[in-house]
Amino acid sequence: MEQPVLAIRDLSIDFTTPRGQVHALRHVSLSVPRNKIVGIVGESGCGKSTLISAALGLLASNGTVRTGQALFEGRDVLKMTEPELRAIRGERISMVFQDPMTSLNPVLSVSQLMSDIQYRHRERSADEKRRRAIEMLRQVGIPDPEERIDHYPFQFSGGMRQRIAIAMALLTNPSLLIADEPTTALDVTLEAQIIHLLREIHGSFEASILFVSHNLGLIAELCDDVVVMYAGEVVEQGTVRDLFHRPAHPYTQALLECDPARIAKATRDLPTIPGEVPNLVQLPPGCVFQPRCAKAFAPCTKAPPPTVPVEGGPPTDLPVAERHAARCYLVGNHGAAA
Amino acid sequence: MWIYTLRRLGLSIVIISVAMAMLFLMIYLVPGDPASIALGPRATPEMREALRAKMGLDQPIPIQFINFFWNVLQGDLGIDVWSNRSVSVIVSEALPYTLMLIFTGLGWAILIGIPMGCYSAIRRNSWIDKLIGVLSVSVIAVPSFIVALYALLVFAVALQVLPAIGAGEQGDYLDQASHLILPSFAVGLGWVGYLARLVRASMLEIMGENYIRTARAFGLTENTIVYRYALKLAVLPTVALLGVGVGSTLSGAVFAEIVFARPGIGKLVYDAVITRNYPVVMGAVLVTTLLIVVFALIADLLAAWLDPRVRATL
Amino acid sequence: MSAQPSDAGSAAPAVPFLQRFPGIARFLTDPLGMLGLTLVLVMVLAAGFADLIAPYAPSAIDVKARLASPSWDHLLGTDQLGRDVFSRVLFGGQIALQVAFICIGTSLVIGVALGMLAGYGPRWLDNALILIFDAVRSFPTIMFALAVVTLVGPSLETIILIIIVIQIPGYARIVRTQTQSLKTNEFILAERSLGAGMGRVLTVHVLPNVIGPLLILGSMDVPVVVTIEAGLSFLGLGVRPPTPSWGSILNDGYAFIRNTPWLVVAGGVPLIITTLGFTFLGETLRDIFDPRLRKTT
Repeated sequence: MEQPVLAIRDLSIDFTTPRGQVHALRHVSLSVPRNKIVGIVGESGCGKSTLISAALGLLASNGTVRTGQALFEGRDVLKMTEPELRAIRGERISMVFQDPMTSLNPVLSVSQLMSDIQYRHRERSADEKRRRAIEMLRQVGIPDPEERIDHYPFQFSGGMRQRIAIAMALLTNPSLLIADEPTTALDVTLEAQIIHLLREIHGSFEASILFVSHNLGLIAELCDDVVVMYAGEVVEQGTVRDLFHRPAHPYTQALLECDPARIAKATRDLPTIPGEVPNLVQLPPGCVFQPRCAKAFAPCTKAPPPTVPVEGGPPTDLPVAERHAARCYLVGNHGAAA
Repeated sequence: MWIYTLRRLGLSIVIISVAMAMLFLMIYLVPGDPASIALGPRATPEMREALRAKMGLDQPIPIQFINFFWNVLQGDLGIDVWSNRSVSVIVSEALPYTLMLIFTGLGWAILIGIPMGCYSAIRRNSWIDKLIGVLSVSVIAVPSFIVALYALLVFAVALQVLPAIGAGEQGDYLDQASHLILPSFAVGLGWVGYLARLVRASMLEIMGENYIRTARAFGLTENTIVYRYALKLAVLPTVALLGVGVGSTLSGAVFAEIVFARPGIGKLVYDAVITRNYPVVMGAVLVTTLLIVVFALIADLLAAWLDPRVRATL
Repeated sequence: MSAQPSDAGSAAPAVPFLQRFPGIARFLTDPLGMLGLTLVLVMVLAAGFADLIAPYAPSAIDVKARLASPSWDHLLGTDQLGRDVFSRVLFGGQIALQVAFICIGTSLVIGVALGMLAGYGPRWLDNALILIFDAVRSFPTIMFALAVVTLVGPSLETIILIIIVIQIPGYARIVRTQTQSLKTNEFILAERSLGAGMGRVLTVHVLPNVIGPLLILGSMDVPVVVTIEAGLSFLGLGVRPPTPSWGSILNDGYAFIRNTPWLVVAGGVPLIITTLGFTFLGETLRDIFDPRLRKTT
């Protein structure tokens, strides 16, 4: 079994705030295998951003890692020094952000931006850097790249800017591309184009993609594996097939039910999950989803459930982080009749 | 870009015209006329008439106004009634000294203030940031003529390390430079505080922006991020601010010239005020107002041009 | 605590005063703000009680003791006419406060009136007023003052007049902006259609919104006004002797700077205390109560 590009093991992160310790991530484990696309799905506040920041070593100063590791190609990112981190950021791991309107420096031209990120390659001349940049822009579908490379970000539309961001991310041929809700700020047609682009790229480059979104449809379309997060925990993970056909955790099931694309007949009321995301400073004892769970029963209020493999998944000699598993008392031989 | 320039230019011209009109009309809001005022209470009616005729005050007001405007447009600011010299010449002799003082003062303030602001932003909330913060507010608050007086007291009178009076020997640059040190210090000190605060606030705002986060995520060095990405943007507002602030710097320069007995507009006007020599005063006020409007305009246009977003959309 | 049956079921415990006004609590814990407040109080009390504190009359001449250094007799020394500098400084404070009060008060009132007029009145009036304001603001302050003094002659009243004229555009602008934004506000239109007059609209809606920012700006203008008066008096173009403005003390000090440094020191220190005090105070107040006022120009 090949070493995964990114392996998060038992990661717990707290933030110190005036309101108290915010337990943003609790015992999160997931892995991104080589050449695969892994999706993270969850609502706002589930910890996706914290996870991504940690993976890049960009945790805010009031954040503390309580336990766990974030292994990129075998090395723990959380223990690296700044120079070591700078060597891999933008080089081996790159990122595409959510808002293309504000993610690019407005007073630098695209060619300057794209040359800047190649600064580590001193052996390349300025012309060489520019040539590579133009080539990459062409690959992501920017028309007339030789001319447009000298334009400024504000001269491009949102969709184009996101393509530029993807081009920048791929410029150094990274092994991992993290896409943090890259299409949330775009309209549906652009969204489809970007997803299509990502799929193409995955085909031609040898990069794994970690795709964060709250849109289940996109995840289903694009990803190989999925991780479902809720309030700082991984509540379920598995291949896209497993998760969408046999969702095991009540939260996943509820999410799927609430997806407007799945509504079979016309109805006045859109289904929602009642209740609110819990306060991360004071967590409920027991399962974190229990207060909103329709299927909660006695053990759910006592202690947080362990991560348990779901029957009917791939062979069980894989580590827990790589097969269909869920954190729920209802799964496996813990389950009582629903 | 051109349309914007023309519009700003047009607006500036209108403002200057209104200012000129106000200066002119002020004469008539005041009891007596410039001739009587200049001559004082002991003048005889014949003397007053003569001076009035000389100053062109015997013509009807609208004619005077038109003459005034026309003359100014041609660069003629009238005649100094005492020395019979052209006011334009007198003012243009004094102006270079004042300009040199202003630019030296602003120059060193920029050289020190901007790095201080940048450093404050990077080491936010450290003790040195707080110290710079308090010092900035303090130097902004203390009037520049007090700074001038105290500098004079300490360095020129008590310690006697720097000259107290004048601009130095013509042609001797070193001497002139040493005469510039204390006055330009007084003129520029308040600006150091202003600039440090502005740059700090700008930098903090920019460092929180998304594109800085992107730059970090791409592993750019902290130096690149701070200087090439953040600071370049952060100094844009200072350009506009400097243009607007030339006016207040002028006030400081006037006091500095008087305290250090330097030649320049300040000294010129001060002497003219004492002798109630309104033409000279009015000429100097006009020229300085014009300069201020022009500098503000240049700074504004420069700031707009430096930002590619504004440049392209204008 | 012993059980007290009569207290059972009584009202909830009183909320501590500071919790109800968090702004005040923040102010009291801000070191710069408290320093500013202290300096301001020192200055105001010293000026206010000058009659009681001052050991000598400010114009009392004693030529035998001229240009003396500080001593127990004369805490800040004497000037070239033997007058006690400490007493003159105290009474100078009175002058400074008077000037500040009159100038800021008057220009606030006129500024509010003109601002409302500009904001609410016809377009041409607004444009005209704005043009005049911009023209006034484009004059360098000192030059404008010097021009007026040339024509009218130097005196404290002249200075006060000049300062008022210069201050008005700043206040008028704020009121104008507020008035303009309310003019097209829907519920104002509704009120007008119900017959509410312009006066009512202005007093009920515009005034409350502008009072806060104006007060803060006004207090931050105190050091500016005091400085202008002191500067012009320093040039000999303000108060007439023997009136003891701090500026005139500095004027004397400058003339005799080689004889004694104490006059310059004594004239400058109260100015520094006043400007620093009001600036620290004003900045802290502004940061706590209305950070929007933080303009960069």
